[in-house]
Amino acid sequence: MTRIPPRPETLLWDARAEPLGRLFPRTLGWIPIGFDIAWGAAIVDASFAETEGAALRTLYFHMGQVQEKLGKPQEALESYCKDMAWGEHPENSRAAAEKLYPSLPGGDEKNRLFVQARVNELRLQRAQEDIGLVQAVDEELGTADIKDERGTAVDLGRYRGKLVILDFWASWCAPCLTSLADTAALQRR
Amino acid sequence: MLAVDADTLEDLPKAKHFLQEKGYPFVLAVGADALQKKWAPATPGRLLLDARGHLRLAELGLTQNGDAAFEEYVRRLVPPSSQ
Repeated sequence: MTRIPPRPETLLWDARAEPLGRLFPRTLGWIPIGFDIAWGAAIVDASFAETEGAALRTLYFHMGQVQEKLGKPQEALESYCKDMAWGEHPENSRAAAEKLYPSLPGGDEKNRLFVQARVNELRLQRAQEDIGLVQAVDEELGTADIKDERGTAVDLGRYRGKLVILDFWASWCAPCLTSLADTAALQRR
Repeated sequence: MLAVDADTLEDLPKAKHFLQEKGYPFVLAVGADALQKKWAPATPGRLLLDARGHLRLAELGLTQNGDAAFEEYVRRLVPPSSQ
C-alpha cells in the first residue's frame, strides 16, 4: 500500500486542533443558572472525553442544540455538520440544520450547499486517516450498484479489456472539479 | 471513464450540464452506494479498474503531487502496444 500525504490545502480541518476543549469551558460560562442541568453534565463529560472520539460522536447533535439556545447558530451548524459526518444522529442534525438556514447569511440554497461541502470535507478528512490516500489493491468488484442517469444499471462487465476509472464527484465539491479536470486530461494523454 | 455523481437527484441536471459544458467525455452515473461506502466515503475519490475488472487503485482526496502518482499507476496497467 502506498500512502501519499494530502496536499496542504486539502487539510482544511485538523481534528487535533478542534477547539472543543476551548469551547466547553466557554460554553459552561455562558450557561445561565437554572439551565437544564443534564446539558451541563453532558458537556462536562464530553470535555473530559475530548480525546475519546467515540464519546463525542454521541454529543455533536446535543452540542448544536445547546449552541442554538445560546444564540450561536454558526457554531450550532458546525456541530450539526460534524454529527452528519461522524455522529450518531445525522437525520436529527440534518433537520435541525435545515431549520437554521433562514436565520443564517446566504439563505437556504447557499447554506444547503455549504453544509453538503462541509460534511464531505469532514468525512474526507476522517476517511483519509482510516484508508489512506492511495491503496494498491487487487480485488474483483463483482456487481456494483452503479446506475446511469436514467436509473438503468451500468454493467461494468461491458468494459472488460479496458481500463476503467470511476471518478466520484459532486457539483458542490470544489476539489472534485479539479479531480475531474485531472481525469479528463489523463484520458486525453 | 465513469463520473459517478454524488449529488442529490435534484442536483443531477446541474451535474450533467457541468460535464457537457466542460466537454468531458465521461459516462455520468449515480448510485454506487456500496462501492462508495467502502472505497470512497467522501469526494473526490477515484477507483481504477484493470482490464479484468479488478479494482487496482483507490484514491481519496487530492494527492500531494497532483495527478502524477495516479497516472503512473494507469501507465503501469496500460499494455505497451496501446501507449
